[in-house]
Amino acid sequence: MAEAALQETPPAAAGEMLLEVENLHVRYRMMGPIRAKLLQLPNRFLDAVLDVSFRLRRGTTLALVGESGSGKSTLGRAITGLVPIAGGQVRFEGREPLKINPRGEKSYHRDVAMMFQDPVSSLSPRRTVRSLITEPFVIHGLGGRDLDAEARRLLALVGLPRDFAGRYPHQLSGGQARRVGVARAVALSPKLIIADEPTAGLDVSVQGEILNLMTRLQRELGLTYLIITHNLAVVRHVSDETAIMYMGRFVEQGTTREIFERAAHPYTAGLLAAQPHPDPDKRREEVPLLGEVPSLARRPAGCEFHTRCPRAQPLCRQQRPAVHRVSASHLHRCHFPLIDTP
Amino acid sequence: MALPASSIAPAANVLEVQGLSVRFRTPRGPVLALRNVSVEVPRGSVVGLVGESGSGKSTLALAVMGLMSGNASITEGSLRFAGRELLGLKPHELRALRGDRLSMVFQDPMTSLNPVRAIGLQMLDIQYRERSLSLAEKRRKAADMLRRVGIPDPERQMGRYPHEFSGGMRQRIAIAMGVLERPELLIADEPTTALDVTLEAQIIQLLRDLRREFNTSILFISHNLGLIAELCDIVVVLYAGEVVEQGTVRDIFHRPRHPYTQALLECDPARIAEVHRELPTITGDVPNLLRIPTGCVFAARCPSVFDRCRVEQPADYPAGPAHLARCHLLAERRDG
Amino acid sequence: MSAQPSEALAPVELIPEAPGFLISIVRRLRGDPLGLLGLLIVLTVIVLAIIGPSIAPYSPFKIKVPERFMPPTLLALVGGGDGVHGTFSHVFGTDNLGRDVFSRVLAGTQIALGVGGGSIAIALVIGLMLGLIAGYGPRWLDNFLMLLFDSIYSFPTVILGLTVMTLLGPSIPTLMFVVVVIQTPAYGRLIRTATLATKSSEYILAIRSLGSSPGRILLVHILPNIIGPLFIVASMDIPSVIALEAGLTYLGLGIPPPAPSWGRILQEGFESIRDAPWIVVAGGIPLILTTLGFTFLGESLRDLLDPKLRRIV
Repeated sequence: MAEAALQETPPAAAGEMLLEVENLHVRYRMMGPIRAKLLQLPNRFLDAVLDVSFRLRRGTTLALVGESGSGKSTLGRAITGLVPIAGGQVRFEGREPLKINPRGEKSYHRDVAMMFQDPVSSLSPRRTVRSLITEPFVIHGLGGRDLDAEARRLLALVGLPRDFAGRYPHQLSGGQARRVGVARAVALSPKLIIADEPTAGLDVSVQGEILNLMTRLQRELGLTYLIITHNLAVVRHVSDETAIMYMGRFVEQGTTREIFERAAHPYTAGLLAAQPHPDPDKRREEVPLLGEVPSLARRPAGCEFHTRCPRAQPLCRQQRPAVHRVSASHLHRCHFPLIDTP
Repeated sequence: MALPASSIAPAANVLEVQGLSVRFRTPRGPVLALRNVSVEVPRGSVVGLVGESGSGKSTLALAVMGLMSGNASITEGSLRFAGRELLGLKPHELRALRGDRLSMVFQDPMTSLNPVRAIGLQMLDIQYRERSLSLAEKRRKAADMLRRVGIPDPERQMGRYPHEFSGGMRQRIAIAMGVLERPELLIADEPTTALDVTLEAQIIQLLRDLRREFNTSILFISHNLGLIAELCDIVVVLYAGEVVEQGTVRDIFHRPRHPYTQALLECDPARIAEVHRELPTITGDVPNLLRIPTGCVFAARCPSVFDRCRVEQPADYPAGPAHLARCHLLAERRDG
Repeated sequence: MSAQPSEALAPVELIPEAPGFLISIVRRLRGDPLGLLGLLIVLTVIVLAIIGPSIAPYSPFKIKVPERFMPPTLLALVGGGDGVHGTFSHVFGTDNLGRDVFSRVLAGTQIALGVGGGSIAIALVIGLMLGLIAGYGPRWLDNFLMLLFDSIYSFPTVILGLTVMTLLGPSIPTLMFVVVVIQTPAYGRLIRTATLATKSSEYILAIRSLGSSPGRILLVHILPNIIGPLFIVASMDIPSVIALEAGLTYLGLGIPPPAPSWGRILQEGFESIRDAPWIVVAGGIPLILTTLGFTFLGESLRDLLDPKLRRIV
């Protein structure tokens, strides 16, 4: 069981790697040190993201998949600097934008934009669409530009009619509000967009609109995407690479094809099997995964998935699995994976 | 328009909705949320109500339960529960049914759970009609049901409050409360939408088991086609307040006849076998319920629309022995 | 069936344009008679406060002892306008020094709103600033400010007022100072809570992700969204402040004479209650009406503000 180290990967051509995250650790403080002493709790922090490493190539789309407590949203926010990092590195175009200023250097926020889960509530309620999508210009000192023209350009870019500029967020449908979110995200022509649940709350018949828009913009503007989602069906179609998260760790990552066709980790297999198929002849006979995600405050010993794993062995309770490599892109953390690991 | 009436005794259908129309009074005018909706739930079956936003599926559930908001009114139609007309019942008569023979589980379990009351007490509260049972017996019945839905160590957990449980557990408790009195009909309105997919699978299995064990009929409401396919025997497709198609689950998923149903199925990424970067959608938006268009409600977005669709509302045409679709295309076929 | 966005979105108006904020409020008030009444009263009071002294028939300070204790016009309608059973030349009659009560009441309106409204406004501004800082800034600052606020808050209002007025000597600025000290913690706490709640909402997170500075976030994004309820609370505090002044003046520690504040009129009226009962009535009715007016309006607006948001969303 070779311990895979990222250093063994043949280094990618310089300039191709847009984002490199290494051993990232993000935690939330549950209580102050005094209270922790009084309650005799060993750990007063909640580890939301643990030991996460990955690389994102320019022009590609990486999907972060996980359920509640997986830490995927926190990871996205940590990369943007919205949440402080407790350990590890975030390298963007070779620099470390979160090192000196944990909130991120101002120029970093021009290069990395975020789209939020709830389309309407991520828009300031008392601002018009026009002021919302031109806000990035004002924040970055580019307010001298013809903001009306920029607003028109952005609205056209995302396929919204011109007269939407004067509307307020509560006057927009979910899909329209999402488009405004996209417009705001691409306002300053960023390099990376982190999209948190881009299809949440959207009807299936209109999910494609937003995803197709994002695909088109990726082509036209050379964007790179980090999509955070729990919707595996969508992931299969729109992402190049996928990472599966459980309790803050990557349990498996690889190209989307590898994940869907040759899943190694039992959790990945369980997630895939749990997706209901819209065909009555393909009904599940058994429930793929029992139990619930353990509390982040009381992490299981060894492999944290062992409490729910159908293949758990004594070793799994004792030792946390190391990272194993299946192929150049395919990694997992499992002592007894579903496929052969060379 | 109803499915061909069954010739068996009327109580063969635990729920019969006939030509129901619901109107909401809003400051901007009347909203016709449901128009001439007919749905039948045969005893012991699971009927799936599938629809997207604005379809009116939740409104229908609340109408059956008599829980609609003050500005809603039923303008026409009938609601029969086990052969008995619900419309026009006095509030106390309706209350007698609710929780006992007719119950509901909501998307947010906290809709059913009182946050300041221990769950054990709440499960005792539901049994208020059982005058023949002692307190200890009621408590045991509650604990059994909690165990049945997968709450471990129920005797001890009954003293806990809802916030002490996880979301998945809370929904199980809500379901336990919903089926405790062995209702004839359980209405489940998006019961798993707020849950992770692995929990969702567990809850769906639970509903399946409970239905088998207690022969409860279920009206299952969801926008998730996969879940509908997993659980339901009969499927009713709602669009903008109208039933556009209904049939057995195989009719709908394998032989959809209404263009909306067909498009909806095509849009589901889980159904698309080949990996496609561009995903299909249905262009346009759901019509504004303040201004219902004349003709077919789907005409503005239908890929197969023709002139008749914009002027005349289609009738419900048969597409199979238990399969109806509200579309002129079937008429053409019939006449042609 | 790929999407054609522009055409797809244009024809359908999912949610039609909502009318302006003020218009919708007035429209909704139509259905609320108490709120309308409140609005009417408040507007009347404001107008009188502005133009009052100019339309007053007499000077509020003009002493004419021979004309003391002349009953109001109302009684004149019954008893004849002979000066003993009522007079037509003084609507509210005269007080113990022959001053026209009506004119004094009008002047008092100006004082009431000026002192009441003015001090509330100052408390608003200070409370707003401190609340924003407490809500958005570091935890220790929040703790410190809250401690400060709570300490002041838990002091009984009237005793605080009496103490300060006694120590500093009664005057209008002192009174306003008392009001500001008393009211600021309440507003500060309200704004701080609202700021805390808003701070973690998604749209603030979104603005932060754009790289915005905290100052901009506070002023441009948080402030406009939380200030609404504050105005309502403040407007309902105005009658309390007026009543506080009346109480303090009654006890001799409010606004010093000859300023004809309503409290002063009440105090003098009480002293001459056997000879001229109408003075107390004349001083009390405006106070009651103003209190009712602001309260009705404030409650009505508060009811409107909440469901309005819910209905829109």
